Amino acid sequence: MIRLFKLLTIMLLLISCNAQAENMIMLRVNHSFDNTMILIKEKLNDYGYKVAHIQKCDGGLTDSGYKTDFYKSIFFGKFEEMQQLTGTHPELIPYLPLKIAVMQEKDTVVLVSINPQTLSLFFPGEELQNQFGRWESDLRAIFEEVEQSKEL
Amino acid sequence: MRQLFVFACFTLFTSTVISAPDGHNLYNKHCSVCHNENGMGGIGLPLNGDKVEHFPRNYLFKTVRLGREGRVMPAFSKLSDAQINAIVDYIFSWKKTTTTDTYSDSKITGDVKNGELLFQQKCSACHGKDGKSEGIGTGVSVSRERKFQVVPPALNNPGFLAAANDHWIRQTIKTGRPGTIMPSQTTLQINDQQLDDIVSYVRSFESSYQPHAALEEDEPTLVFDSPYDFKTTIANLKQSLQGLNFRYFPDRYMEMGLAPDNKINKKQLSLRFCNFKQLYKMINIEPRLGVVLPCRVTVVEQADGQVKLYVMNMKVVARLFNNTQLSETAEKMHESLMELIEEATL
Repeated sequence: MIRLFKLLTIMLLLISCNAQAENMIMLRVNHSFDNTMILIKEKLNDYGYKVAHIQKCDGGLTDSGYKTDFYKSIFFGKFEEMQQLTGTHPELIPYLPLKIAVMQEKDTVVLVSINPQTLSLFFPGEELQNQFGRWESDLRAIFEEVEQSKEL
Repeated sequence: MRQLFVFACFTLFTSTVISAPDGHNLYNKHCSVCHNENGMGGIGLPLNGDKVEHFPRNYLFKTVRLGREGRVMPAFSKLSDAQINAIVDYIFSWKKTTTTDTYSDSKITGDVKNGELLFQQKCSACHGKDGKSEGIGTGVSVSRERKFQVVPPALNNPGFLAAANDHWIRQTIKTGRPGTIMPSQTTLQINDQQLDDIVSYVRSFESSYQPHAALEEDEPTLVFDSPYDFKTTIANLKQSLQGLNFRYFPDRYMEMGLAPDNKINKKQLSLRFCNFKQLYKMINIEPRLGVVLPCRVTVVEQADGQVKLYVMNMKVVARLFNNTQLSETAEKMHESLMELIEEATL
């Protein structure tokens, strides 16, 4: 009976969460591009991540004569986590460090990241599922905080 | 335990029964990132102004529910009917009129062969010869140049065909679409019978639908052994990159930037590269591509001295975007990467 209660409780909580399994985590904010970049960096730090580097996609494109708006990719991670994962699961190497693409659309800025939970489709195993779940939860919280932050 | 159960029941009850769905909030949460805050469009199509003026409710409802396979728009299968209806109500609040058009679900019978001839003459320049659309990418032109300001819909898309009934398609051709280059029946110079023939031809696309391969079918990471040592492998890769017209960026160790230089593993090096002509084309097709950029081969020397190359399988990852045009381009990119690896490790 208790087992049935437990099962029902878990099912009910899962249903009430109404979680969408999107492949991408996305956000549109009204901040300026530069402020959005600063906010993302701040929030990543708050959650224990470090920005490894920023790739300027727009720079290369405009240098090559193509018209584009601001477009950058932020690479970030945690050193110890990265060390451990590339050792135990080298198949994850092409997917690390994690990335957020930041692009301007007129007066708004769009943030996009692959939903880490989606990687569980490719890389099964309980240990990794937990890791992907943590990353997803952190990313959602970071995006939410960026959205709620006031313009600097 | 019993208390937790009661709490779970209460949570479910309050979240789905008591509180009526708020269309504005739901739109902001699920739609605005692509369609923009006031339906101005962006990655997704514009929905404001007169764009949805004559849309039947059921068409919009089914579009949200089923999405558009291969056209970026996802299927919102987890939203309740009430939540989708609330989103539809919110989008309809931008209309100038308060009435909602309805169209019969009855089938229109026309001459499919004649419809095909007319479609090729009158429609294919925008909607494509096989109905898959001539537009590159999706949504509206924001930062980049495009052939169409608003990308014409893919009429062979299973999501579109399931959402649009024959009479709604007929009405759209009859009146055209305000705010887009879609002309009316008068401009197209077709009579009512010819209009029915085109509708029947569009409906016939249903029989040619082929579902996409499942995500799990291919390896997400491609791993190759190099017969050379670490330094030689990197030198070979750079030489091959130049030969294949890629521009490569300064070397980066994988852990670089995450820890002081003296702590990072110098036997894991990422070679990052780009072909900007190809990149421009791909970003026009899929603006969110930055989440997998730039192209990269990571060279790793293992403890036993064996050198391995790790590459993201673009064919697999491209499918995450629900964008068929990107998947097609990714196939070509995959071939280039395989050529690069083959040359470097030969």
